[in-house]
Amino acid sequence: MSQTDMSLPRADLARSARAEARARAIYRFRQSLLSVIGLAIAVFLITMALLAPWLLPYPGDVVGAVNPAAAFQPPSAAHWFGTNSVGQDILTLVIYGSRISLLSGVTVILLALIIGGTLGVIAGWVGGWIDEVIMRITDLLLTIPSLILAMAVAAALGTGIWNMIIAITITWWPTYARLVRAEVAAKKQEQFVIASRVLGVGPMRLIGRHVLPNIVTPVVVKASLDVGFAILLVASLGFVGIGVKPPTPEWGTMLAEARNYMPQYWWTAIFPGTAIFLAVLAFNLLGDGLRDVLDPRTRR
Amino acid sequence: MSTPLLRIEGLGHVYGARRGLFGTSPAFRALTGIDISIARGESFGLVGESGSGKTTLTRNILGLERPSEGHVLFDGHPVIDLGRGGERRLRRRMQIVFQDPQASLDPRMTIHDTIAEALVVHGPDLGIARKRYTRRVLDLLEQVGLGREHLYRHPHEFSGGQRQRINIARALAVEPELLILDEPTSALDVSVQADILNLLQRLQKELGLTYFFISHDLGVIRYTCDRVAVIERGRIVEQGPVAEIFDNPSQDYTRKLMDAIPDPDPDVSPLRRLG
Amino acid sequence: MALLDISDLHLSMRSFEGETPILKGIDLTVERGQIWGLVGETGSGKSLTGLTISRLLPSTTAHYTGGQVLFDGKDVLRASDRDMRALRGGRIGMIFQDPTTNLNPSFRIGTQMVDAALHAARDKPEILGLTGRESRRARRRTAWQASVALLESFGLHDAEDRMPRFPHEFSGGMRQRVLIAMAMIGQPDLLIADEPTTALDVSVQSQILRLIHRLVEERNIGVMFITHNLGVVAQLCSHVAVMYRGRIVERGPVSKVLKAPEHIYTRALMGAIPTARARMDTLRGIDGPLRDRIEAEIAATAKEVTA
Repeated sequence: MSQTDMSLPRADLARSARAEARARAIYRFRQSLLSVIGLAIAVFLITMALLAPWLLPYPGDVVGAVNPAAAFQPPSAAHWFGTNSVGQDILTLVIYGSRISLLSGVTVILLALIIGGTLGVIAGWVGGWIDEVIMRITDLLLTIPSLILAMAVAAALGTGIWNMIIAITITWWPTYARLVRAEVAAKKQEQFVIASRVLGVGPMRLIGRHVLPNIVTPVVVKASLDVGFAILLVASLGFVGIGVKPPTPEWGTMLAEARNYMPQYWWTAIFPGTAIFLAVLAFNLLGDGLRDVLDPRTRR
Repeated sequence: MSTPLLRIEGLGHVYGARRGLFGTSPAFRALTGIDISIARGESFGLVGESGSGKTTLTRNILGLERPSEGHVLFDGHPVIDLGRGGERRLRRRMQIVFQDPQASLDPRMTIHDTIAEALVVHGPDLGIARKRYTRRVLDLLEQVGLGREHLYRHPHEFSGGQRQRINIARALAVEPELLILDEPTSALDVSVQADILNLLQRLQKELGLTYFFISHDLGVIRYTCDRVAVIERGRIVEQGPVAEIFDNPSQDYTRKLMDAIPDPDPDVSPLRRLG
Repeated sequence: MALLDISDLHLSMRSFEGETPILKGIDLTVERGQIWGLVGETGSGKSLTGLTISRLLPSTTAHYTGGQVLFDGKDVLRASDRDMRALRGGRIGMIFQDPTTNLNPSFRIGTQMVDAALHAARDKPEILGLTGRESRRARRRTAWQASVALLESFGLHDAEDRMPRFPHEFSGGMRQRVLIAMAMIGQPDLLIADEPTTALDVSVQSQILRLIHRLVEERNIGVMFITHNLGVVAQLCSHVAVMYRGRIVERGPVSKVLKAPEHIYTRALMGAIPTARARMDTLRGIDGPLRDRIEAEIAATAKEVTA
């Protein structure tokens, strides 16, 4: 055998395989126009939230500045989305509100994922009475409606963004515990996991290298869909008055306040409402698109 | 005489009765009084139909289940209650290739990572340095008839026969003494099956492996094995040299299995004789 | 007129890579009373040929780029969806490899059987001896009785008692008998069987083969039996077509093709089967130089045809 034959395959072989996999994923994602739209809206909203401090036309309004003289101005060049009952610029509030909504939506899902995911892995992998205990607690929490629990937490701890996030997380993690437990229990029995086990691979590596990467798809899809629903729930809590309190602008709170001035001052409701609608829609479409991309069964 | 590499004595397995919320499922006896002894370098076949207890027997041999009665001894030592270190040492000496080549490979791992995993776990015992892993993986791939162009691909990019070669390479990575072959070719085309069987024969000769070959295909057993045991409903009905058992079956069950094989010669078709 | 006449059938499938030709000019004629074995490796196109006849491929990915499939003189590829549904229930029966996934686990065997019978009877009321004026109950009762009789005749004992049971209470062989009964209750003229015994034990396999053989004797139907097992073909089939990568490379009566195979690929396939009756010294696999010779020969023949 010649000297060149003995050399190891270069890393670019690995790279080209990965590049092809990526090209396939992009091809599948683009097959669905709706998921591209979802991604575009989501990226737009997230960018807006991150850049909010530099985008605000009237930065003073978000810290509670009022200008009664300018109350209820309809949309105009100076105020694209009009002004509210105390003369604050609605565009400013909607942009800043994206921070609260997206931040709390994503935080809730991340926390729920960490808590529910960990417990789900333990329950699904270990099984036995540990599984039994974790799943019964899960079932119990699932019976409590999140809105009611959030109200109870607000009553006990007071209102505020973090209390709201905690309350929603408590009712949300069990759904992840359930999903992850079922996936882990199923994957544990898969031939390739048994094959690695027979090879002498330890439990941590089995979970980390074989089980978790193979359950990422349903979890990521659910998380993406759930961010939309969490944003909706945050807005609902704001709407019923137990979420974020003014002056911190929040879409649900804005909507609740606007209710008093409908239909005359429609712009006070329509813009925060549209923002909620777009955010929920975006993450739903994105979740559907991700399902198509990540599901190996659709892989060809 | 030296100790047999694998010795199964009076093995019985009962799946326990389970009390659930909605009633009790009765105990199920999967294996009864299994006695098998496999010498080093031998190729031992096990034939039986679905539900005959083949899978339970395999799981007992691998130490994945605890026998209800009797023992499984590998090189004179039991295969259960070994502790973490003892279990790892056993895994290194005994490997398995499963029936479904696709399901046995992690769909998200490259072939390199799949085979290298064996080295990561057993590297120190095998005396292979970390930076030599890729080299070793490549040698293993070449040993089973694959090449460097396959190294960084994923399982779904391979044909069934190639996938089974990868599974064999992974099993060989730890330099085992006993290889359990659990229907390794029954998911494959006959043309590919022949190549895999020939590969297994060559590897056995080159590496001095011992095979425990499970199959429902008597032709495959005849081609590959020296001795055979016929299992029916959890019991061994007869065992002995393959030629003896297949040419002069002493049991009705074995005869029935032989008669049911569709012969590729149209002249011996019982249907044609009937029709 | 032949029962089934496939001529110069071309099929392409669309995917990420673009259009891939799958069938490259299939010609096949099946007459009543014939059992055609369609053999080949995975990816040879044998299953897709079967699915084409009952047009069960998704129209989004499957493109018929040439040729025609005539069933009893009717062009299947250009028939309306409505006509195809009637054809599938009443005139073309199909059975598949996995008898578990082809039965709905949440319905009783009897319910599924009766539904199949009534579907078939919509276009052919005579199979159940119905006039079309009976009440719903009466029709179901008739279908039930016909189903029991058919299952009994297919060797499923105590069919009356088994009908109210669920699929998981049946063994693999029993489930396959049920599926064959569901395919046959419409008294089809053509039965397409796609690897129906591959998932079964050999002893059960021989019972199923006997059953199919008897059906052909009694009802004079045509059968297309798709399999990778040449032994099964030798036992059951009257004719065989050997497929390789979208082409039929050899065809003819089983007694001729399997006794004296002419094509290099058929010979290679025959040489790859291990037998239990005698120890073979070497089994010849196909990959390697032999595969190259097969490819070369097929390429040469293809050129000859186009020239």
